[in-house]
Amino acid sequence: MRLKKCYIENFGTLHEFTYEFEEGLNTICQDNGWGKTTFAVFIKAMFYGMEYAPRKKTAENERKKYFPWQGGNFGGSIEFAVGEKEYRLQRYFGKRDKEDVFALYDRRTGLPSTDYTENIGEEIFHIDASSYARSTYIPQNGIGVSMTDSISAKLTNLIENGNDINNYENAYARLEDRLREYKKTGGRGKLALLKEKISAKEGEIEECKNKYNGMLLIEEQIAEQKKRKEELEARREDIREEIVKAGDLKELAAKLESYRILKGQEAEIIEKKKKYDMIFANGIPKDALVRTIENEQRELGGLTVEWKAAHLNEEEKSRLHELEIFFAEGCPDNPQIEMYLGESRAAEDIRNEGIRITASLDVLRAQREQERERIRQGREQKREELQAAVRAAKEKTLVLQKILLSLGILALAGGVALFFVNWIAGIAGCTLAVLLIVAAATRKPGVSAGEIQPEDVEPNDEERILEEEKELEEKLLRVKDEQQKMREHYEAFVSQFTLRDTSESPVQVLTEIKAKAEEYRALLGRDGERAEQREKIQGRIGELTESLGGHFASIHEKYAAYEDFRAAYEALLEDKKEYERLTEELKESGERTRAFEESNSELDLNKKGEEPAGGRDLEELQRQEKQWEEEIEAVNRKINSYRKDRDAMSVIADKQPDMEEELEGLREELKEAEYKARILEWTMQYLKEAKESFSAHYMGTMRRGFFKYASLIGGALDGHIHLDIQLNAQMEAGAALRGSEFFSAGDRDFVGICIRLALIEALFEEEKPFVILDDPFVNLDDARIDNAKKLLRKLSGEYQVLYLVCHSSRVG
Amino acid sequence: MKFIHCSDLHLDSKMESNLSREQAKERKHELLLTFEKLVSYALEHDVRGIIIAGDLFDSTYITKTAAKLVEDQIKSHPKIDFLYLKGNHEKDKFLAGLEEIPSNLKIFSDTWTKFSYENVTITGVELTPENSRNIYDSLVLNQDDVNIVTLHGQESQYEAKNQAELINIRALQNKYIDYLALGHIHEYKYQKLDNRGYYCYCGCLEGRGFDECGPKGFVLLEIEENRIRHTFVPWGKRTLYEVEVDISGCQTTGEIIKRIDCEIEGLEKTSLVKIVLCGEVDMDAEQDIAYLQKKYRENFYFVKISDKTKLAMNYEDYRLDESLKGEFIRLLEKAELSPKEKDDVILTGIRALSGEEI
Repeated sequence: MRLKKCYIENFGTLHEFTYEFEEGLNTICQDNGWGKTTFAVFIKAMFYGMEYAPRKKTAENERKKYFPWQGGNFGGSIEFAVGEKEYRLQRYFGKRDKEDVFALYDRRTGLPSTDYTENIGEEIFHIDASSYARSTYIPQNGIGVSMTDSISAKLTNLIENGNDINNYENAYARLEDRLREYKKTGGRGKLALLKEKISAKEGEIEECKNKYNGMLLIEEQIAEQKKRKEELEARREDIREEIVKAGDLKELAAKLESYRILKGQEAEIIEKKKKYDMIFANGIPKDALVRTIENEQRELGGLTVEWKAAHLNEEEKSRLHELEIFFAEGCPDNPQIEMYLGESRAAEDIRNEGIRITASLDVLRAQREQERERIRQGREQKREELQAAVRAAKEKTLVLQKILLSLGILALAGGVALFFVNWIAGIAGCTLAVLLIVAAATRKPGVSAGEIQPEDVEPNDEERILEEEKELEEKLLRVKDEQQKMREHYEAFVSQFTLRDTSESPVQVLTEIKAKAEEYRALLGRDGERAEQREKIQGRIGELTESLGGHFASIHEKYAAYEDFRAAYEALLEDKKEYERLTEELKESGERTRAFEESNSELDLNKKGEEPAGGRDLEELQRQEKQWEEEIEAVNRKINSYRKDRDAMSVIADKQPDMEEELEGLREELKEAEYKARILEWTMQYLKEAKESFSAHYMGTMRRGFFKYASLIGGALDGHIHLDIQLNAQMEAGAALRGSEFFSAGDRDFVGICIRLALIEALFEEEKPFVILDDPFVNLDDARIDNAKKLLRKLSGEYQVLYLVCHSSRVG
Repeated sequence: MKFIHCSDLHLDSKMESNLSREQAKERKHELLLTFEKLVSYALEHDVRGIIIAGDLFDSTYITKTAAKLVEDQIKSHPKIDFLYLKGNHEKDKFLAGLEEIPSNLKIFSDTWTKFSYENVTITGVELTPENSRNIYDSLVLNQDDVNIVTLHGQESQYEAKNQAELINIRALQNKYIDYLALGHIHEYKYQKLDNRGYYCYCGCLEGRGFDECGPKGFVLLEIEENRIRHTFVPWGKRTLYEVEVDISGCQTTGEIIKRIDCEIEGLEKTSLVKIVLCGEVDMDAEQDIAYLQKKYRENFYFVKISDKTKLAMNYEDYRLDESLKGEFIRLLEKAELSPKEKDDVILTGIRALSGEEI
């Protein structure tokens, strides 16, 4: 492949720059800043285009870095030959890759060519852009070579055979990523996670097992307690048997005791009954006698009450005594009292007549006084009316005087004034004025106060009233005289009684005397009747007392000794009832005893009760039984408590099967994951080995080329340099190998150039590319520079070389 | 007169390990419910007794829930006898936990124990290393009775020294046994014992893992006039299936799906299904097991996809392959890995290089 010509319209600093390439060596020696590197980048851009990476910084972003400063179309064209055919390649770049324009023409026909596409670089050289940059372009700095898939593929000549070596790095990276899912640094990743989960699950299962073991221990405790319970139940059964036996003896003792009680009760009744047997030694009184006694004592009681009732009561007695004293002078009869009452009522009428006359006199006197007042008030009113008329006439006269006086003054003033004009008129005026003033001074009111007199306007009744008064006063004197006489007659009558209130009216006093007289006569009558009744009752009482005394004495002297027949009767009744009750009780008690004796005829009821066998009585045995019951109950409580504990533990222990399943699942998952991780590791291992083994194929060509160019440039390094399959150079240092970082700058460039040239030789066996050297010998010493120049000449025999240099000393 | 023969209920046992936590819990509850339903069935069908031929519980550990449920079922159905034979998985834990033994819980021991129901005699013994050799001679049955004998263990045609799990079938012949109710094997099996009787494994009530596939249930025994009619009653709430699908030649997941669909057609939606992919697959074939797992999860209560395929690999084909892949495969041919590991490494490497999902 040969470059023919290029035209740079605009590319970085270069503007409308044309260059025609020679076969062999093309040296461009220019000062720094001319654009030598720009020129090299332009050639690469023509064949590989320019990367569009907006996020990259300008220094790393060629599209931004070489965008023309001066503006204009960004790009240009290059003419080249591949085999026998020549082409003109045109590329212009925009700010974005979409704006890029690519065109390829066949130089012979001038027509567009489809022999290559936009990927013309890869299509001609079979390496990608980065591999191109690392092989055919040798820069001043960074000569070191690193292996890329593309270079590797090209070196192994496999590009036509498949893509697998190209994809090695990508595949290895993906395997690594995948493996990282399982194994991450820092104990992370799926495997670590699963192991962690398994460990946690094992811990949980351990806890379940502990709980389960705890449950087993509790089960043992329960079993032990059950055994204890069985023992206690057996003991309780033994005691119960003993209780049955003891119960039989107890029953016999109880029967004997019952018999003893029955006999005791009977004896007690007999003892109580003895007292009554003595009282009723003559036999118990017959019911008929008891009824007679009851009737007689009841009648006696009633008569006693009646006798007591046949007396004036205390109040009546007291009242009778009072009235006897009141009427000590004798008790007036009713007609006498009625006569006095009639007189008293007439005296009352006369007194009322006197009062009425007095009242009439008072009325007449008042009328007379009113008449006098009426006449006085009439005169006073008339006088006031006349005084008002005089005051009005005076006011009128005063106004007229003021008017006349005013006119007089005016007439006087006019007369004086006229006097100096016309003395006659003046005098006349003055005269008028004098007349008017005089008239005013002499004017008097039409009515005077002295002319007014009150008139006698009404007639006078005083005389008539005085005559009526006199008549009534005479009548009043007569009435009072009659009243005095009656009063004296009345007082003579009432003076024989002791009256409490003398202020009462005669009618009231006489009515009271009349009532007392009637009451006095009634009490005297009643007292007489009661005395007769008492006499009759006293006789019957005597008969009954005698009869009842006889009856009680016939029964027992105890009752006859009672003063009160009713108390004696009640004592009799009570004794009789008790006697009968005891008799009945004794009978029943006797029957019970007989019945008991009959039902227990096989027993000797007169012997004493036996003691239970074994020296323990029933109560003691029952206490023992109760104790066993309590102990059994305590054991039951313990068992229940243990069961509760066991159940609580089982909540956790029951999870064990589930957890073991989960653990098994996790272990299977881990096993699977470990297997997958292992497969990935093995895959990576074998893939790497395969790649290294396969790459070793091209190392022979590389080594030969390296040492060929090393011997051309010269120096002591050849034979001490080793190349690995990644094209890393290492220098022998004793038994060890040292990397390029230990090289001097000159040695590093020397080694780098040799590797590059060896690489180009190995890579391009058929279509030879052009080689761009961007002043790479700057670090070489003088001896090596000379050899480098020789190398250039040698190289340009095989390749078209574009040598960019900034100093003439390094121009070949 | 009717009896039910069931065994190997394994209440409280572990479930298929790939079930989700919720599903495992649900399945355990379903196991308990299946037992409850069995008792209800017995009640409805006037069953006189339920013979539990061992392994009512799974292990020495019994949860309170399971123990209580069984106890409640026994106590609340006094008209049904529960004839309980302990199995090799059980100890005395259940019985020890009971406050008192219900009268309708009939327990067998390590010596022959008989329970009679009119003309039916049910005889059983728990096998132990000590009694396993002499139980055969000590079994004496009345030939006029209908004789049901129950044991728990693995059938064998020969005597085994001190191996409690083995039942010598031959030694039980001509003992007047009409029906030998066995437990231990989780598959239903019914075979002639001798001229008179049959022996039967009723299998477990519910499948728990993919080693217990197919219909599960109990046996109903109806006895009329000295004759036993026996019927297997499928009873499990869910059935487990293991389906092998040969995907040889399938190049895509879509082609695999078609093969699977053919094989699982007709399986109930409530089932638990294990799809085992087998056959040889090409290295370049596209297969997405995770996608298949997700897709068939919708079809069943539980689904598990097991990839047991092999790589259709001929190392000779890569002998002269000048590529990284060729070099990689040549290296693995010599690697000291198992065939499956080699297959997996090769597939992973090839998929990584070709940019496919790893």
